Formats: sequence, structure tokens, C-alpha cells
Amino acid sequence: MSLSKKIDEFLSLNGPAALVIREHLTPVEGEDGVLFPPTYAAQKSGEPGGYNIDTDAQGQSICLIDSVGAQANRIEPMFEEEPYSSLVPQIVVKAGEKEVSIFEAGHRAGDALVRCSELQQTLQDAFKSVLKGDAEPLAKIAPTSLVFGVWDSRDTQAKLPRIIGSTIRAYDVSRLKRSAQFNPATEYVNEGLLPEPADKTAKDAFAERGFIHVPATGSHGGIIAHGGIRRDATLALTAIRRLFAGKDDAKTLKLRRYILGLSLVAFTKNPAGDLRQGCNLVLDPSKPREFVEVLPTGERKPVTFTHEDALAFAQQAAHDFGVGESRVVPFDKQRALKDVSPKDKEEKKSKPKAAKS
Amino acid sequence: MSYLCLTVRLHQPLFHGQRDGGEPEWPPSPLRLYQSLVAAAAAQTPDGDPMAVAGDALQWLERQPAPAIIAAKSRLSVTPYRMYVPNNTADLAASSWSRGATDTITARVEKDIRPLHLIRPADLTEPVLHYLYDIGEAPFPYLEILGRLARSITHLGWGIDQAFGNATLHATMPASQAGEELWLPVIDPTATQLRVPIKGSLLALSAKHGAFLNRLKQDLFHPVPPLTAFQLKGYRPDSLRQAQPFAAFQILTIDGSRMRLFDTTQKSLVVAGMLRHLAGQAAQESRWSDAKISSVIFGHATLRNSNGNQERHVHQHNPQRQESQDIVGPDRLAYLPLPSIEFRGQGLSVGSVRRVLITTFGQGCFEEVAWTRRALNGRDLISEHNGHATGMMASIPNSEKMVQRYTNAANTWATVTPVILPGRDDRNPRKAEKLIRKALLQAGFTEFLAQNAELELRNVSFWPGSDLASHFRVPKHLEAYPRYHVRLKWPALGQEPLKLPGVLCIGGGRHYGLGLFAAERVSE
Repeated sequence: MSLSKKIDEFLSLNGPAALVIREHLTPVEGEDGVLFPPTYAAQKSGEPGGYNIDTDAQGQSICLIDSVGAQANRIEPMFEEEPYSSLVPQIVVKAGEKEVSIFEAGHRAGDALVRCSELQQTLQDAFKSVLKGDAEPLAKIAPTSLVFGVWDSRDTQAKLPRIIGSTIRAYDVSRLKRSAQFNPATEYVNEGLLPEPADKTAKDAFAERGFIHVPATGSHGGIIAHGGIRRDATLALTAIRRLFAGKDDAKTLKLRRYILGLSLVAFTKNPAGDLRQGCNLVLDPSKPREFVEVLPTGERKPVTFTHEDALAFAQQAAHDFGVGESRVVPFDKQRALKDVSPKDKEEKKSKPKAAKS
Repeated sequence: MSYLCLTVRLHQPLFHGQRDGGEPEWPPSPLRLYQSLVAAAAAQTPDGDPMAVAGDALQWLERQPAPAIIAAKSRLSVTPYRMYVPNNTADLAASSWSRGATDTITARVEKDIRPLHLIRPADLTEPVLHYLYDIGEAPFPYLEILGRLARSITHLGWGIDQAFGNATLHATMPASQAGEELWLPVIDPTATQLRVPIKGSLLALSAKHGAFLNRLKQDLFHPVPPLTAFQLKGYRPDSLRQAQPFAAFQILTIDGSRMRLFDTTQKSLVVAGMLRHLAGQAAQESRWSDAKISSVIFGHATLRNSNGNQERHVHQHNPQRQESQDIVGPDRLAYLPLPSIEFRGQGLSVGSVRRVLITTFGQGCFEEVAWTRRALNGRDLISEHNGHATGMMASIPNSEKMVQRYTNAANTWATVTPVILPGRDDRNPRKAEKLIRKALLQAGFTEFLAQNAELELRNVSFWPGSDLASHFRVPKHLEAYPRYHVRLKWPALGQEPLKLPGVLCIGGGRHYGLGLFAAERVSE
């Protein structure tokens, strides 16, 4: 069934709960290549941090390669580039020579950066509309906040769940260590170019500046994934069905189709690639991608449309909805100073820790 | 009887939700599910009012007793880690920006993450949670609306725990599948405590949501009061048997100078009988109703006339009782004489009875067990032969070492009094083993435990010092049934040998101490 025929089913109240993609990835070096996962701080001081290698419920080792948040941060900026940029308004905050796109702001439409610009009132009104059951104003200025989730935690408290969640994990992994030795260009101390360091502080200072030999042993050396690497991505259709444009059914349908279009485009574009130094992943040609729709009963049915199909649908839906105006707005010093006024600090002091959702 | 099954499936085999104190919560509490349904109802309408959309259904749901839960088995992450999340406070970032330091984007706060890993079903789809509500036989009017709400759930737990749901009706309680566990609500403060909605939860949630949205009104911070309209309910996996409550006593001589001894083989039944008689006297003095004394203390069945009205109580082995008449359930007291297990020579050996336990094998008379501890302490045991005092009851702590031999968790157990089989074995060992497994089921153990326990049966005791099974005195109505000493080893759960708490007592006559097991090695 073509995508256009599927859309109504996706948006129907009794339609599928979600679309799910499982993509098998491999390091560019080959199946047994060494890849470098992200390192994390330890939860308690004194404990070693490092890679997040855990044991799953079946006892298999499992390593986090890219978290939900990291994947969202990689996917969202795609909407700055052609051909996707025409699907959404381009909102940029300019401060001096620096320009920051709303797609790069940590909290999206709810970020302090955007709040300290002339968009403050517009966004506040948009969030208030969300609370009153109308997400259209927010979709006109920051539609990707609807796709990847947003919480206006510092103002209206409007909160929208993420529609797309994506994670990359490696299975059955071996952890590697590596050691290295830094050799200075010349023997500064032996040659009499520098004095003998008097104490540890002086020695550390020499080491930091590269004047003496510095060994490094037992540091993180990457992993080998014997059980493969997989990206699991979910598009929650239920979350789209919770969007309204007030009580206007026609507008609500256009809004949902627009957000569904953006979600499908983001969902079907492979965000793997050069994740970080030493972690360049590509699709594994020997294992086909699994792409299914999941019904509320848990039943799964294969889905066949492509990224190009999704883009074509998204362009049509964006045209029907009417993409919001792109704007470059200056950073507003006065708003920033007001935002950091003593009143705000007092409020912050008395504010209890936000509950985890 | 029908069951409403609210199902939630998590897209990833992970769960991040936490209970009070930052501890992982599994299974997710019924209140957590309820909150997600209320949020789904609020999202069904532009007005955001859950009452308008599903008020009746949600108010019906909050009044239901705590549901049973079938949940995927879980394993706590062994590698907790810390993430640094951009903190959306403008005071640090904006002040830098206002000074022209545009490199500073924002401050970051620490977020510690330690998820639970969940077992996927056999078909490798999403891990499942079923919340099972007993809705009786009457027509159920809320299936459609609750189904709509369940299908609108977007996550359960943290925001990254994406989920979807559904609602179905079942004629019988669905069974747990491989990799899943059935969690049942229990009356036990040591069980896993989960939040359960109560009458008024819906209104309280709506009020809290309103207060949260308005917490920063008019440039002032208005604290949001915590939710209090819920109750805590103990939950325990069906595979783990609940530790039975008990009251322990030692029997002293009348002058209290030393412990009173009774022969294990011939006098255990006599001790149990005296104890039961004593409990009956105390209950009468405490003005219990005749019916309660009859069923809880004496374990008598109730005869009813043709109109269904209560007629009289009879011993449940009375030939007048017919199958159609009520029989007494497990909610009665059990009187267990405890043979001492002492070091003699090279090892442990079974000695005389010096202590007794009063317990129950059901769930319905925990308070009555606690009552016996107070009511029987210091009372005289009266001989059935001459009506004279023959010993004195003295309460002892549950932590007493000999008591722990019968009550602490252990993997391997052996009988100190023989198990009376619940049927004829025709001298066939296979039949006998099958009957022992049946006795385990009758004693309230799960099918899994009953079928997978390792069993050894024989006439000779597994404990030195104990008599042959055939030598033990048993009640007349049980004399015809085969009896064996049994050694039982619980099956392994994962890589660990399963240890279950006592009191372990099975087979015919278990309410007066026949078929009583003692742990071969006691866990501290």
C-alpha cells in the first residue's frame, strides 16, 4: 500500500500505535572493527566512568553507542539543509557575529536563548495555546519541537512528548584498553634548556605543556561488537493523534498531517554516520532493515515506503498546512538581564527539584 | 468472572521510572498507569479536561481494588552512568550572553541514569505489562473509553520510555508467559510497595496539574503540594511465596523452671489439640462470634440448609458433610508443634517438642495470628486426659534460633513429621511423587514451584533421631492414607538456588503439624 493511502490509517484513532525501524549497522572498518562509544561520568565520585557497557535482562553485554537525546540532536539539524529546510521555518538567533538556529538550542522552543529574543512573546503565546489544546501556533514557529518533544520548563510548563525516539546500541561487546607514550621533541631538562622540576606541581606543569615524557596507560581503547550494532527507532503515532488545532477538525487534520510528514522524513533518514572520532557507522548490507507498523494489540505488519515517499508526502502536507515565516532575530540583552533579575534568582532558590517525567 | 486487562507495551526493553527515594520501580505502579490514562484523557480534548472525556470511566477505575500485574522480568542495570543535561535556566547563560560571551550556551546539570533491563517476549517484540482488574460478571460499560485512553498512551516512566497501550476483556485471568511474572497484591509490609489510586485520585490529579501550571503566576512561586490521594499496596511475584505470619511459643513446666518436653512421634498431635483448645477458650473470652471461632480456630465447615442459610458447623471430615456444602478455606489457624533440632554427636538430630508455632496458610487471618501471640502468652496448656494444667505457654521472639530453622528462607528442606498424601499411591513411587506435588499446590505454592521442586520420598526420616513415617500417630480419618518423609529442594531461579521462607507444611493434617519441614541449612 502506498504511503498516501496509509496516512489516513496512521492518523485514525484505531490505527497503528507506532512505526518501528531496526537498522543493522557496521563500522566502516568492517564487522570486527574497533569503534569508540561515548564515555560517561561515573554516578558516584571514586567510581570509574567510561563506556556505558551494561548487561541486559538475558545476561548479554550491551553498549550504548548513541542515546535518545544524542540521536535527536543529530537528526533535528537536518531541517537546516535542503531539501528539508523548506518544510519548516528557519528561526535563527543572532548575537554579535554568532548565529544559533533553533534546531541547535538544547530545549528547542523552550530554550533560554530563544526566550531572550523578540520571539519571547510569540513563543509564550504559542505554548499557552498548546495548553488550551491548540498546537497550531507552535507548529508555525517551531514544528520540530513537536516532533522531538519540548517542555517550556521555565515559563508556561507546557510539555509535549517526543514523537521520534532513536537509539544505537552494540551487542555482545569486548572492551579494549590502550596505552600511549608522549615523547617531547627534545630532552628539555637533560639538555639544560629547562631546570629540573622542583616538585610535583612543577612536574605536572611541564607535562601539561609537553616538556617531559608523559605515559598514558589503560585508557579507553574502544570496543568490538561481536553481536552487531543496531539502531532502534520508534515513531509514536499516538503522540501525533494527541495534537489538536483547537476545535477545528479540518485544521487539526492539516496540523497532524504536517507533523506526521516531518516525523516520517526525520524517521526514515538514516542518522548514523560519523558519530564521533573512531565511530563511523554505515548500514550493514548483509542484514536488511526491519520496518514495521505496530498495532495496539502488539501485532506487527511490514511497511514498505521509502524516505523519498516520506519527503514527497511531507512537502505536500507542509504546503497544505502553510509553513511558518523564517526569521533572524537579534539576541536581546535587556530581556536577558530581566531574565536574570534577582526576582528570578529568588524564585529559583525556592523552587523544588523538578520531578522526573 | 471477567477481567479487564489494560496492557502497556514499552518500545525499548528498558524502564527508567523511579519510586520515592530514586529507587527503580518495577513493575510500574497502578497509579503510574492511572496517571498516564488521565493524561491521555486530558489530551483527547482541546479543553484538556479528563473529566469531560472519561470522568465516569476514570472514577470507576480509581475505585477498583489493586489489580494483579503481569510484568516482564527485569534486571537492574549494573552500569549506572551520569549525563549532563542542558539546564534551561537563563541566569548563567543569559548573563554571559549579555556580557558578550556568546561561547557560553548554557549551564548543565547532572542526571543519573540506572535503568531496568526488561526481558522481551519469546517473539522478541515489546516487553509487556498487563494490569488485570476483576470486573465480575456484570456488563462492563467502560471498555471502549478505557481502550481509547490506553491507545493514546505515549510513554510510561520517563519521557524516553515510549510506550503504547490497549484494553481488552478476558473471561479468565490471562496467564503469564515465559519471561514474565505475575505480581499479586498482598497484605505484607515487607512486600514491594506500589502506589494504587483511590477514590478521589482523579480530582487530586486534576488539582495538582492546575497547581503545577500556575506555580509561577504573577511573578511569584506557588509551591505545588504533593499528591496524597493514593494508597500504598504491597505486591509480590507469584513465584515467591509470601512469608507466613506466625506466633512462636515455648512450653514451660507449670512452675516455669524449665522447658516441658513432649515426644515428637506420639505426642505432637496431643500438643496441637491442647493448643487448639486453648485458642478456643481465649477466643471465647475475647467474645469472638461462634462462627468465627468455629471456622478460624477449629477449622470447621459450615452446613447450610436448602435456603442457603447457615445451619451449623461440623468438623470438615464429618460424614454428614456433602460436597455441595461449604468447606472451610485456608483462612484458619494452624497449630504446629516444633521438634527441637539439636547438635548431638556428629551433627543435627531431631529431639522432643518444646516449642509451638501458630500460623495460617491463607491470607485472611493475619490479625488473628497476631492476636494469639497476645492472648495465649502465659496461659496453661490443659491435658485432654485429666483436665489438669500440663504446661505453660511463653511467647518467644520470631528471631529465636530454633524457630528460624522452620521459618527462615532456605533452598533444601526435610520433614520432621511425615507428609500424609492427599490420595492413594498404590505403592507406586511415581504416583506418590505426583501426590506430593498436588499437596504443594493445595498448600498454595505455584504450579511452577510444585512441578519443578526436586523431591525424595521414603519411610526413613532424612533427619537423625526422627522416627519412621509409619510410626507417627495420625488422626483416625488419615490413617488409611500413605505417609512419607520428604526432602524437598526448590528449583533454581536463574543461576541462583531459590530460597523460600517457611513455614513449610503440606499434606493431610498440616493444620496440626503433620508434614512439617525444617530447613537443612538456614539463611541468616
